[in-house]
Amino acid sequence: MAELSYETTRPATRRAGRHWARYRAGYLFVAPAFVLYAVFMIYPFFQSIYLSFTDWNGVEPVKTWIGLGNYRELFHDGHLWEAIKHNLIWVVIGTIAPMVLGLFLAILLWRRPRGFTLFRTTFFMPQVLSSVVIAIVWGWIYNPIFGLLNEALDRIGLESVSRGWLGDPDFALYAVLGAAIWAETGFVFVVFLAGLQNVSRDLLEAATIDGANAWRRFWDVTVPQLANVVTVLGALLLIGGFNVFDIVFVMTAGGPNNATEVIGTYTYTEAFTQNRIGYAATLSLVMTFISLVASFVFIRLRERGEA
Amino acid sequence: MRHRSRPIVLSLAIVGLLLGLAIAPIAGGGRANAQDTVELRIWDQFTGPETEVVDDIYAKFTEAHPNIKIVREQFQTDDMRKTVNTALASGTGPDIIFYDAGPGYAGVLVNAGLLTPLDDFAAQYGWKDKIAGPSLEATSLNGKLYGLPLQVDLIGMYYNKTLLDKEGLTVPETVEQLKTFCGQAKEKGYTPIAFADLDGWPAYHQFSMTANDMIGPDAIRALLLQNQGNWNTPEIVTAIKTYFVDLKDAGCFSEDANALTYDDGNDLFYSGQALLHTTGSWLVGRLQENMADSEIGFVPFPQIDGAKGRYWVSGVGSAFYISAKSEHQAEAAQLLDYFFSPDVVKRWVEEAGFYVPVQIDTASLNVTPLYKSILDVLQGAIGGDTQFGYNVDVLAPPQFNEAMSDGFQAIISGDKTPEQLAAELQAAWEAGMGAATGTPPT
Repeated sequence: MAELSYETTRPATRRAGRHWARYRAGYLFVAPAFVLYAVFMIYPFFQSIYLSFTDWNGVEPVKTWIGLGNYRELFHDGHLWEAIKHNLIWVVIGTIAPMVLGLFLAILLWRRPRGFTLFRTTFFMPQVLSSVVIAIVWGWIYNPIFGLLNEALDRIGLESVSRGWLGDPDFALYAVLGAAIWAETGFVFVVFLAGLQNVSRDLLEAATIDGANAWRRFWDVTVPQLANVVTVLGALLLIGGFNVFDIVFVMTAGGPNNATEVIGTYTYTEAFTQNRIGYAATLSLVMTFISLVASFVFIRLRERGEA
Repeated sequence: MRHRSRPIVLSLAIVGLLLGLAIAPIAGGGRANAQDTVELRIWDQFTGPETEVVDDIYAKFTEAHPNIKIVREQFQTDDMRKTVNTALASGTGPDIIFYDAGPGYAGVLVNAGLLTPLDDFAAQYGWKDKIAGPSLEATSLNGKLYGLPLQVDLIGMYYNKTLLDKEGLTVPETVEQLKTFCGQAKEKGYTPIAFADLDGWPAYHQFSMTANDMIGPDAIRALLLQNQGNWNTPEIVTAIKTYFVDLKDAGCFSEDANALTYDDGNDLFYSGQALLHTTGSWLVGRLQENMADSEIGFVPFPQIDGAKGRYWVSGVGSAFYISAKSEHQAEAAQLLDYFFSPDVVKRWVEEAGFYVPVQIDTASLNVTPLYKSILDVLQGAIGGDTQFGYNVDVLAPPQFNEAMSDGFQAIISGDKTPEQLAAELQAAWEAGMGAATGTPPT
């Protein structure tokens, strides 16, 4: 009897019906996560786009449409360009430094020397801490009166270098960045360590036989085999660098005098202190757009390099 | 087919459970109670040691009014600022809030029509006779009263009398004396003033003191409340320069002030490393806790040469507001009036450590000498004997406060001149308030 009813339906819906029947449980299992994703990611994303065309202050009952007004304001907003500049510095240094340091540490532990487990755990530890905790503790380290950094510098005779790190407009950004690099290197290290497991020992032996020195072996044999890892890590660090917020906010809140202002902190202050939700939505879209473009370009370049 | 339906049932159950968990709080919270019981939801910011006193005060009100139930939620200031807008706009939020009085906070809610004007209730309960006029001004907008200020702040200069006596120094009365004092203190190895500006807002109070001194409270009031006047004047430039340039050059505070948090500054004063602390009366509780063995004095900022006078600076931080969407306006007003009844005021003052802007007999209070001296100063203003300056940041729009925060940090680091900043302050003021409506009376 069941066969007869199948014969009368159209081919496409028959396929869809069979697809649904077979994967029903799968869809239903995914449903809760998808609902959460839709409610907390997809819907707010489109609402942000809508809000960026208004000058809503977060509480007025009416959201006034102003078209491209916010976008026009963006181009003349010196504060934003200042923040983007800081993000660029962050992205460049904050991508290269953890990669170099992480790779260096991974190579040191590649052959599983004595104390491997201890070192690997120690190097990875910063990843276990929340960024707020990292920000607070590094804030203490940088404190001009009782901080460890100035204390250490003074003791080794470098008093001229010690200063109010988070209060000095010339150094504050790099000080915060330093704390972030400390936090990120552990993650990069662990990923590289895993990546190194896939580097062919045979090729290295062959290179040694051919007379390549340690540097040539590293640069011409090891690194190319880590290409995919470098791409993934680079993209993650890039996006992270454009989206950075919490560590900056807790350490300096963007100060002193906007010396450490990044797009994230600027968006926050515009939204919640200046009550300009519309403009803040625009800023957040800018941040998303820049991250997307940067990581897209980066991945494309890497992929083309591999071909 | 039986074996296939179990995963479906399971996943439907999970989805149902998750959605149910998500919806339940929303459904439960809005439910009306039994006919006679009124539920008043109050959001306050009393998260410190005073919270127990607050609980007790609420409980005593409920005892006296059995048909009213108080549901209380406490917030840290920052958390409240982030959530109160949405909560009140939604219509399912609290009935009463204890919130910042300034244009960037309660002002935004007033303009969105989310707070109830209190003039009728004020007439009914006689609030305008009970509560000090200037404090009520701070919580009024467009000629209507919106908030009841529970707490005023007094800003001046604390000095560690014990240490000063020990070192043979006297507390400076003029800025010239202050500069000399700073030199002497530095020689003895002290940091003269515990000024720390990483957070940006401590500078607001320094500026409030010098600006009020330079152009006088009447002119500041005209600017803040009536938008009459201009910040870009030589007197304001002098106000900025006196604290952030001259005192810095005289070595009165750390060169690294931008790198020190407010708590760092407090620690300098508590530990006796700093001799003076230019900040507000909110610190008294912590001073008494951390410096129980020292005698602390509190005076206005030293006299500036060429200034209109030497004034205490006062301001309202937060006040009680009633949500316009609350269904229990009368009961909410009843509770607010209870807060200002004489017995409860005494408890606020004695037990919670608040400076309530009402007339009270300080002699009968059981409080420490430092606290009493501040209360006496405030009573002088309420009685009309002393004129106070106006704390600027609580009455200024957020653009102006941001310009102050960034600007003073820039002056300290030498990246901006007082002249430039005065012009920027005026521009930020106009951006937030519109162009001036007139010039103040001279």
